[in-house]
Amino acid sequence: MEQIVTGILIPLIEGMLPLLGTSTATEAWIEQIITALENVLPLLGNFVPTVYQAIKNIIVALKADPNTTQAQWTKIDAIDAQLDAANDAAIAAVDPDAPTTAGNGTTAT
Amino acid sequence: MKKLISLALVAVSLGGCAADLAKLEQVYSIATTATVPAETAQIAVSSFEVLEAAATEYFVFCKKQPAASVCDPGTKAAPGPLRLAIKYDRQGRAARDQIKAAGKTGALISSTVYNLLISAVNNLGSTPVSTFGAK
Repeated sequence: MEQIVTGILIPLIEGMLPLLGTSTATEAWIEQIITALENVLPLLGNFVPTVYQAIKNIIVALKADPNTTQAQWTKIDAIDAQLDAANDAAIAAVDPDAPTTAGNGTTAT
Repeated sequence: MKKLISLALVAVSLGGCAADLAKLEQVYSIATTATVPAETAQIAVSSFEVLEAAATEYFVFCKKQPAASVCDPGTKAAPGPLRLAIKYDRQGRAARDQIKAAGKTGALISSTVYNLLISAVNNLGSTPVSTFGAK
């Protein structure tokens, strides 16, 4: 799955981005891209950081397109939130100042 | 999977190349007015999000290679690149979230918040984060 996403799907979506706005089908293309991202992200799990940059780039491009509808913006925001969660998780894994759970169940500061 | 394949076929038929989004990543000036236009703020938000993506890759790298010099946490008194990157990442996300919230309601965007985001973008770009991710 990872290879399909990084080697095929993401590059193909990136290839579509410059074409957004050049056709009356743009809104439908945007919807297809969003649907693809919605379907793929849950399957990636811990693999998200590897494709984070590419998906962020796609999100930026979709949001910049005036053909993107309000409903599509909402969906894109939801995808964005998943990427923020990946950023949170990555920080939590290396943060030397992160609170640690003490043995008595309280959180040390 | 069928949806993925159909999308792939559509994309193959369309061809084209990736947008030059790396251009978004540059140093921005501090605003001197009380508020900033939404369009200006959006560019800064996009720039930050490109860096945020790179930061995620950087943090993942540091989890795997904690002894790498670029992953030195330093101390609270004398923070190393890792602590600084975490600080700027959080600073930027907080400012970005405020700008996004303002954008949704149509509220004016405070230059204070905007400048915080600009500061985060510029500072994050000066950490090892800038060497991670697609440039």
